Amino acid sequence: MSEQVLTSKLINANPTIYTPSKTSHRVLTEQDEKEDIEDLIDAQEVFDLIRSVTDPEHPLTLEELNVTQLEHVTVNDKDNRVSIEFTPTIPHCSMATLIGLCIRVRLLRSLPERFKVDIMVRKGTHQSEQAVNKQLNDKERVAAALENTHLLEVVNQCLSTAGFRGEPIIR
Amino acid sequence: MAAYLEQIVELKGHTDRVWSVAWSPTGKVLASCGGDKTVRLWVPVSDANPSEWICTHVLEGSHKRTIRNISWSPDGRQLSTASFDALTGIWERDESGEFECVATLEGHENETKAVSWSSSGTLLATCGRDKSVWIWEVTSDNDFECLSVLQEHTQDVKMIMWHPTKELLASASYDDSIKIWREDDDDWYCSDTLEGHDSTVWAIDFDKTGEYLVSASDDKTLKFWRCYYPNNQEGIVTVRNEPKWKCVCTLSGYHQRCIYSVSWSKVHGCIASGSGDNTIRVFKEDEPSISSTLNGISGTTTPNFSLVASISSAHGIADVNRVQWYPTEEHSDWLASAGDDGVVRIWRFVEKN
Repeated sequence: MSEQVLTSKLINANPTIYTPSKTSHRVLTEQDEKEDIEDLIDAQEVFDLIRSVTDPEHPLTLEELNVTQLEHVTVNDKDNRVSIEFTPTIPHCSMATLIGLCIRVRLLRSLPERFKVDIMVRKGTHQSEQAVNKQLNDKERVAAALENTHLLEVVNQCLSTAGFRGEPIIR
Repeated sequence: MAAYLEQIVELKGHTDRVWSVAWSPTGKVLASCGGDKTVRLWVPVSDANPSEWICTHVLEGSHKRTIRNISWSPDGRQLSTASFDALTGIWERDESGEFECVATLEGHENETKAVSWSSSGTLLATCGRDKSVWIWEVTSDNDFECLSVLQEHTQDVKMIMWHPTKELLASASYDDSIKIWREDDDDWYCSDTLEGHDSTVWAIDFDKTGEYLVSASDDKTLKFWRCYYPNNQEGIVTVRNEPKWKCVCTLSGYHQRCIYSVSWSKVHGCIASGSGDNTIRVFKEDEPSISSTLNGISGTTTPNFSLVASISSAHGIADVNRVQWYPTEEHSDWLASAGDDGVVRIWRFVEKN
């Protein structure tokens, strides 16, 4: 996974920037505020966890680049399943694996351990869709990648903004 | 007939996921390894009480990254480790009973994923992310000489396993195939490629005769392969006088996520599988039907396997990375398992009539 990170040339120099929609923020209900009711993990919560991850080559979030969208997050709390589809900005984006890895690491660190997470490139949006998907969902490859200190630094850099959860980022 | 798995003991000590476990050839010691870069050796406190075990050794310091896999030499004196740091370690028990790293084998470009000793103890095989399989000859004084570097897989090689008696090696790969390697006059070559799985093949194991092979895959199936020799009576076509491996049974629908491990008992013939769906399942070969026996075609019919026992949440909410049956008659009903929860468990397989 590491070789792509080392290229300095921008893969997509002029990406389209999308304005996050305000309605996509969670509106707290009375139920949410109650302490004694256990909040289930839902798609909104998972989307909030990943939307502000910074793209590996632009100072923009995955949400601003439309790489991640709420509609492409599926959560089944009862069965402990999370499935995420993301959309690379261009079909030959060599950063796709790294973006997927960032999403995986973010969820590894913030979701309850009981969840099994599948991360896929959205169908038809990348020329090596199958290869990227296979790599992202091979836990041995992911484990090995995370022992690569250089790669881990890059991932951590992308994740440094993740906590903004869709709020404006002060860089 | 009802059968089930009951836990005998859980072994805690690893501080990260446990990738693999390996019984010593006599079954007296269980070794485990994982993401914390250590190998731990476990023994029961007494033969009378199998529910109490202690960790007698922690082998550490030689690998800088995850230890993915371990394998004992057939005499039980040596233990080898395959690590993501690209090295293979050889550990030897000295007279005082301590283990010392006596050799490290270099060669793989990056992660070494598995290591396996041949039944004679004279050959060692390693494989890794660099798509290669290496065959090493074990000479005296812990000298290991590379005999061959086999590079026919097109992706990572996840696991390798020697035939139980012959010098024949099987390898499983991220390229969805299994390859069989043989030697002819010091030349190692691929004698067969087994295709049929739709995704990564994570694990393989032979039955005790070595005539059958089982494989476990990310496609959530187990496949059983049978070896057909030239001029076999079933009329299976063989090429260039090489035995041909053919898939004779596929088990699907038993696991909901990737199957990471499979173990075929050399004693009682049951097959255990461990998966990312947190379950361990045990399968047993069906008895040949009476009619096929009467017709005198038993042994030539294709085998079928049935689920006989299961444990869901074998490691709680965590993936099961490895299962392995106890190697000898003494406790052949014991099954060891390793999980992402950092725990090693030993189960008893109970069959009731």
